[in-house]
Amino acid sequence: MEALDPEITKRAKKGDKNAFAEVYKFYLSRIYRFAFYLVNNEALAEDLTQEAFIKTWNYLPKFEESKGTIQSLLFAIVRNLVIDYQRKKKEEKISQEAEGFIASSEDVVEDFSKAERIENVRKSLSVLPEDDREVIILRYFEDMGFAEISKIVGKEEGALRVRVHRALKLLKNALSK
Amino acid sequence: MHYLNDLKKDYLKVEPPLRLKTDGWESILFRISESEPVRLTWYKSFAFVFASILIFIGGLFGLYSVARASVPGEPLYPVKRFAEGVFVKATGNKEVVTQNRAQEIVDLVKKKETDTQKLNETVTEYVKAVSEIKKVTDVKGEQADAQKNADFEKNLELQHKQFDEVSHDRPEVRNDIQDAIHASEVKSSGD
Repeated sequence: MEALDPEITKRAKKGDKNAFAEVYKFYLSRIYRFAFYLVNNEALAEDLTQEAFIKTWNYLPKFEESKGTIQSLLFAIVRNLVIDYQRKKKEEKISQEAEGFIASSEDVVEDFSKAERIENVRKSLSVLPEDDREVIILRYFEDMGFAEISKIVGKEEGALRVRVHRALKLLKNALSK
Repeated sequence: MHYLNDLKKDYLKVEPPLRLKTDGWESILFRISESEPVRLTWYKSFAFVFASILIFIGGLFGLYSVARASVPGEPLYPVKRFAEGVFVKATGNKEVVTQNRAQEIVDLVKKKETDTQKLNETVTEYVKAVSEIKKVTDVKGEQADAQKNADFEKNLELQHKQFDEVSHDRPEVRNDIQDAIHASEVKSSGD
C-alpha cells in the first residue's frame, strides 16, 4: 500500500492545515471503510470518520513519533471512537442487517451489487469475535504489519499473531462450508 | 489465502459518500479553525506585537489630541505638559512652550469662571519662557537665525494681539495678564 510523504505529516504536526488536508484526502477512504465495517452504519461511520480526523488534528502536536505513525494514530482514534459508541449503544452483531444503509443511487444494479459485497464481507467476518475482526481487517485488508497493529489496538505483537492464526482458522472453516 | 484476497477486494470497494469526498474537508477545516488555540508562528507573533504597538501609539496620539486643548486644572493637562516636555527635550525647540502657555492664557480668560491662581501661574510661565528665548536670541546676536527670530517675533505679535482682545472682553482680568501683554510686546528696530 502506498505511503504518505513523511514531510506532509511533519508539516501537519506543525499546524499546517494544507498539509493536514493532504492527510485527510489520503486516509479518508481507509478510515471510513474501517469505521463502516465496525459499526455497520453509513451515517455513523461518516460521523466517526470526521470526528477521528478532528481528534487527530488536535492531538497531532503532542504526538510522539516513537509511539507510531499518523496512520496508526488515525486508526487508533477511530477505533476508540467506535468503542466509545458501542459502550453507549447495545452492541450489534455484525451478521445483523446494516442500519441506515439507504440506497441513494437510482442505479439499482449498482446498489444491489454494492450491498451484496458489503454483506459478503460482513457475513464472513461475523464468524469472528469482534477483537479478531478488527485485527484481520487491519492485517489483511489494510496491509498493516503486526508492529503497527499492536500500536493501534494496544496488544502485544505475540498475542496478535496468535489471535490472527486462530481467526484465520475460523474464517477458513466458515468460508469453506 | 485466496479467500481473503476475494474478501479484500469486496472490502476495498466500499467508499465514503460523495459528500465526504467533496465537502468533508471544508467541514473539518471549519471546526478546527473554530476551536483551535492561538498557535502563533513567529511572523504572526511579530504582526500581533507590531499591531499592538501601533494601536498603543495611536491611542497615545488620540489621547494627546484631546489633551492639546486642555488648560491648567483639567484632568488631561498633565498629559499635555508631559508631551510638551518630551518634545522640547527631543527638539530643543522651546517656542512651543510660549505658544502653549499663550493659548492657555487666552482659554483661561475666556472661561466664565476664571481660576485666578492658575491664570497667574500660567502667565508667570509664559513670561519666563519668552524671556529665555529672547536671552538666547540676544546672546547669538548677528549670527542668530534671522528667519527663526522673525517667526518668533511674528508669533509674539499674534499672542500680544490675542491678549489684548480677550482683556478687552474681560477688563477685570486685564491686570492678571498684564505681564503677559508686556512680555509679548515686540520692540521695533528703532528702539
